[in-house]
Amino acid sequence: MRVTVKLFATLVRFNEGSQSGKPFEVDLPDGSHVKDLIDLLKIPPQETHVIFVNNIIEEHDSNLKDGDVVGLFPPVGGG
Amino acid sequence: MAKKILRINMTELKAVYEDVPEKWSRWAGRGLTSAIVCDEVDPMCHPLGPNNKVVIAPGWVTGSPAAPSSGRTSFGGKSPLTGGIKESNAGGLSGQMIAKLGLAAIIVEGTPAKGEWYTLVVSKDGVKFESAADLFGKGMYEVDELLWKKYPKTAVIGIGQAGEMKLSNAGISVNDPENKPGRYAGRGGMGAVMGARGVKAMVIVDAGGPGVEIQNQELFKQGRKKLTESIQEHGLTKKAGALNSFGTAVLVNLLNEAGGLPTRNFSAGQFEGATKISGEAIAEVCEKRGGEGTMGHGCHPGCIIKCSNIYPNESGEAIVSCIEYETTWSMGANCGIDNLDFIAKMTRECNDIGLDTIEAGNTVAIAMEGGLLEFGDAEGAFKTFDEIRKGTPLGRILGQGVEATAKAFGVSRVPVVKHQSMPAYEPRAVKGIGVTYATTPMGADHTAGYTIAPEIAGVSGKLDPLSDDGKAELSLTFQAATAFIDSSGYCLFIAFPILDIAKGWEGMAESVAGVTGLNITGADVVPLGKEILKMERLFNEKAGFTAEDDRPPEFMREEALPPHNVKWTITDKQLDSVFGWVHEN
Ligand code: SF4
Repeated sequence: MRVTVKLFATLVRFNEGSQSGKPFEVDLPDGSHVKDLIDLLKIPPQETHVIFVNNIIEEHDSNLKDGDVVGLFPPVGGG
Repeated sequence: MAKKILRINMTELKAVYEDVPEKWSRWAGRGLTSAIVCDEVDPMCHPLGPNNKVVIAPGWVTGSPAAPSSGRTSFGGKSPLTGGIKESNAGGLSGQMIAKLGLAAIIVEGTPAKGEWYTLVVSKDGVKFESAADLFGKGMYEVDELLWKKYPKTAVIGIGQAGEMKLSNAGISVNDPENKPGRYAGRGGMGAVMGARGVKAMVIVDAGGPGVEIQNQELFKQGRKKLTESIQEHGLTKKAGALNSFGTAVLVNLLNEAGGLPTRNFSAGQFEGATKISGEAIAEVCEKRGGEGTMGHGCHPGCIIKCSNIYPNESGEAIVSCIEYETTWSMGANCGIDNLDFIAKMTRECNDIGLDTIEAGNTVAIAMEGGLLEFGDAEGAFKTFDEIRKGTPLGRILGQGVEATAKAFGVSRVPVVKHQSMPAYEPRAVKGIGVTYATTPMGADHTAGYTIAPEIAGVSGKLDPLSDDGKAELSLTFQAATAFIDSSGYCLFIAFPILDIAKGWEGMAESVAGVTGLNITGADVVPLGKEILKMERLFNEKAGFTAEDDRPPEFMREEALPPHNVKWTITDKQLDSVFGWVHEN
C-alpha cells in the first residue's frame, strides 16, 4: 500500500530536503501500522507525539490502509 | 515591608498609598484584580463612565529573583466589549517593576477635566501627573520611544489611538526589552477603560524600590528548582523545543491537521495556505533574512521558554515582535490570507494603534464576509487599519470589533460569546475549548481554560477532540487551574510542563507559598482557582448575565464544519453544569 506522509516542525529532519507539512509518498507492506511507518522513516517513536491519520488523532498501533494521509508531530503547543 | 495598594485618583490628580486590606491579602494577579473589581466597581456601571476603574496587579511571584517566566501583569475592570468582568494579562516589563516598587496593585479611578490627557510616572517617590498633550494622537511605537528618551529603561504601559477613541477593541500595551509595544493586555477593550480615565501612558520607574520580599527562602528555592527543571525537561518548553524554535504559531499546522483551524470567518476547519503562515514558515523567514529577525525571543527578562519572535523585512529590519499563533491565524487563515509579510505589517498596525489582534483579524474577516472586501485581499485588509487609526466612521465601526461590524454589514455568522470573538480553535472540531469559550466569565477566550492541551496537543493525557464526553468537567478544571496560574505571575505556558510533570505542579505551588508565606500546596491550585471564578461569575450575574449568555453562537448548531462535517452538539444542560456549583454551599 501507498500512504502520504507529512512531517511537521522538528521532524522534517528525518526526510532530507523536505519541508514542514510537505506531503510525500511512502510504500508499505499491507497490514502495516503507524509504528511501522515511523520505523521506516527512522524516527525515534517517542518523538512522534501527535499522530493524525486522515485528520483524526491516532496511536502508534493504529492500522494503515492504502491512500491514508498521515501527519506526524513532535510535542507542540502554544496559545 | 508589607506591600501597598497605590490608588490614583484622576479627578483630583492625587495618589495615595493604602495598606492591603485583609480581604484582599491572599490574592495577586488576576485573583487580586478580580477581587478589587468585585468590591469597588458597580457591575451595572457604564464601562466607559466615571465608575469603572483600571486595576493593575503583578502576580504572586512576579519580581522575585529568577522565578522562571513570571513577569506577567494583570489588568482588570469592567469590559466595554463584553459588559462583564475582565482580566487580561500581558508580558513585557511592567509586572516585575511594579512588584519591585512594593506594590500589590495600582488602582486608577476618576476622570480628569474633558480633553485632558496624562502620563502617570510611578516611582518609589509616588506619582507624577505629567501632561500627555504631546503624546496624544500618537501610536505606541512613538510613545514608547519618546518616553524612553526621558525615562530610559522603564516599563511603559500605554494606549494607542484606539484607546483614545475608547473603541471596544482597544488594548493596553506594555513595552518589551527592546522598548517595542506588542505585549498586550489585548482582550476586552481595557485600553478604552484606560482612555476613559484620561491616561495615555504610565511609566514605571523601579529604581530604589524595596523589591519583593520572600517569606520562606528555602521553600521558594525548592519550588523554583522543581518548576525550572520541569520546564527544561518538557519537549515543548525546553531549549530548542517547539515553542522556542517555532513560537506559538507552531500550532497552525497542528490545528489544520485536526480540522480545527477556523478559516474564512469560521466557515471551514482547514486552510489550504496553512503551511505558509505557520511557525515553521516564520522561522524560515527569520533564518533566511537574518538581521534583527529571530526566533527564541523573550518578552521579558527572566523568561526561560522564550516563545516570542522578531519578524524581519527583506532587508532584515524588524517589522514586528511578535507574530503569535493567534495573530497569524486571525489575519491569515481566518481572512484567507497566506502572506506572512502582510500579516506582520497588520500585526504592527495593531500594536501601534493599540488593538487586540484576535478581535481585529476576526473583524476584518467579518468585513470580508459582509462584502467590504474579498477574502484573501491582503492589501485591502492592511488598509482597513488606517481607517481605524484616523478614526473615520468606517474605522470606528471596525474598531468596535466583530459584533458591531457584523451588524453594520448584515452578517449573521458571528463567532462571539459574551460579545467577544473566538480565538483560533474551532469549537465544533474541538469540543472542550468550545465549553471554555461558552462558559468562562471573560467571553470567548482560549487562555481561560486551555483544553487544547489534552484534546489536541497530547499534554496531560489524550482526549478525543470531536467527542462531547466529559468536556464540561475538563473545561472547569482547566479554568480553575488557569485562574490560579493567572494569579501567580507565571506565564500560562508553564502549564504544559506542569501538567505532564508532577514536580512542576508542586514546584509552582511551593514557589508561590515561599514568596507569600501562604499555606499553599499543589492540592490548593484548583480550589483557589474556583474561588476566583466564583467572584467573577457573581460579578457577571450582577451585570445582567444569565445562562443564555453561556452559549456558543447559533450558526455552530446549524452549519456543519468541514472537513469533519461536525456541528456543535454539547447540550445547554452540560454547559450549565460547568458553573452549577457557584450557588451551592
Ligand atoms: S513563554 Fe513566551 S509569552 Fe510566556 S513569558 Fe516567555 S516569551 Fe513571554
